[in-house]
Amino acid sequence: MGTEINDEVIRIMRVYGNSLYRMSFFLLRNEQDAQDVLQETLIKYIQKAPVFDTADYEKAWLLRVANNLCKDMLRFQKKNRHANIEDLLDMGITQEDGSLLTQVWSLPEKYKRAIYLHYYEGYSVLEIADILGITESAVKKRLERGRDKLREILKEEM
Amino acid sequence: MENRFKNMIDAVQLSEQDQNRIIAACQKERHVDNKWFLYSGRIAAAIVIAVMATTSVTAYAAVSAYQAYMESMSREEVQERYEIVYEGTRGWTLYSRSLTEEEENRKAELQEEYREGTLFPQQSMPYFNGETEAKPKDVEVSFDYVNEICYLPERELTDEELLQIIDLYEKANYSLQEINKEIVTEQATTPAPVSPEDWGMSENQALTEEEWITQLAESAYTQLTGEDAALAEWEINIRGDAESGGERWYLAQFGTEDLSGSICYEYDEEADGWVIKRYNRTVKEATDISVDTYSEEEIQQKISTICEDVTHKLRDVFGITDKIVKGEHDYGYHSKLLQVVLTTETGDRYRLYYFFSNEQIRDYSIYPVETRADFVIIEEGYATEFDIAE
Repeated sequence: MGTEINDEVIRIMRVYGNSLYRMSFFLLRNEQDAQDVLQETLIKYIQKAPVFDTADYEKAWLLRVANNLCKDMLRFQKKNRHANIEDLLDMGITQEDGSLLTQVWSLPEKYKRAIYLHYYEGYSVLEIADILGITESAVKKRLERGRDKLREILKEEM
Repeated sequence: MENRFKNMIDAVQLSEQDQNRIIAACQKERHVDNKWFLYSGRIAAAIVIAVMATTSVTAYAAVSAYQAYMESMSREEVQERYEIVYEGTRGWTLYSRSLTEEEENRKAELQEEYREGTLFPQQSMPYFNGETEAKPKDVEVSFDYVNEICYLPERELTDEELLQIIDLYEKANYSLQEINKEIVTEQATTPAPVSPEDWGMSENQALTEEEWITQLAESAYTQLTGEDAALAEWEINIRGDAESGGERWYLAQFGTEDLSGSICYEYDEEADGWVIKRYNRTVKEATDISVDTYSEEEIQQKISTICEDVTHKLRDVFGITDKIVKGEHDYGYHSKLLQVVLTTETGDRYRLYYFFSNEQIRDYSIYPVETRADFVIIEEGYATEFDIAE
């Protein structure tokens, strides 16, 4: 592999790796699957060699690819062993956060994506619509419904 | 709240070791068929890495002899090899003993010849289910696909045996690739249910919303009545948020010379798709016969037949696939109305109504019990439990 591409892979991993991994883990609930998605996203980056005007575009592209890969993974994977509390503790997550995460995982998939991109990554409705490839009204509805369900789980107002 | 959510997500971290491992894996990949790599996930990743670890990366593309060799596998063998990959969970990288350095070096050389299509094993390595079958005694190299152990003799492996190991992994990878291609193709032609929110982004842009629901309804109509939907006249009514308190639903009304009725679709959050929530069918100008002429035995026989039928209808027509754990019926001798309530293992209840008339089912509806409070509820003590048909 050329040195340039090699350096690019390292850069993408160092800058965006955790972000992509977190979203994938949040959606897939499985460490290995999330790592597979991350690896596949990097490979797609290598193969497509996209050119971006800004870092924001670059990140959005990577999240979009990872999101689509997660959707495919959920649709096609035959074994889908979800992480349990013990697994989360092994990952260094606290009991409280782990317990909370397992509850939040019960949200419907499409709400989770919108919730994650908005409340964790800080994307706007328009940006989320672009990443997920859906309409703005769909994003708003998913955020609204996801927030309602999340509120029940977390018992606080966002 | 936002902070709490963020803190929770922040706790998820990819270790530097895992980062480096993934970077290294990407650096070894020169060509990957993305779909098969992805769909088989960790297992395929392990296979790819295990196979490629000791060799320079070689593209899977076009060695005609190699391709022909793979294509010589029957469809049944490909399917079987695909399925056994998923029997195990640990990644197909275990040997009963480590390969020696000399064996590793020979394996790497043999692998190149294998991929160039110039050398294949004389026979395939036998594989077996280690939990239900005994290890083959007539060979010294075999693969337990449930426990994912490749059994090797203690002595130095022959070239043929090393080729069989290579062959096992290569055929597994090929089978994953082929079957996953089929899955992708099948999914592409069988669109998953979509919500109206996604309508604008659906790949089926050629269909209008009305055309799409008409297709669904016509298919259901044929299943429900056994008749050709093309012979019916259809009217589709779409109810939006304003009319139904925030939920969107479709009503497909049909009419033929003999029948009229409607099929109502609502969006099911759990199924993340559209399911039939209500179905009505009325026989036009049906002559009400007096079921009073039926003997008690005949009534019970009809009830029994309907109860048996309804469990299949719930699954086959209405798409409710949850296991039914309880069935109850209540027949009103005055109203001639038979109610059947089915309870699934998830606790959902579905009620169906049958009006006895002219020896035909005149009307039946199915919907979650909780949504129709205006109907008579089967009260405890009045309902008769019946056995669920398999």
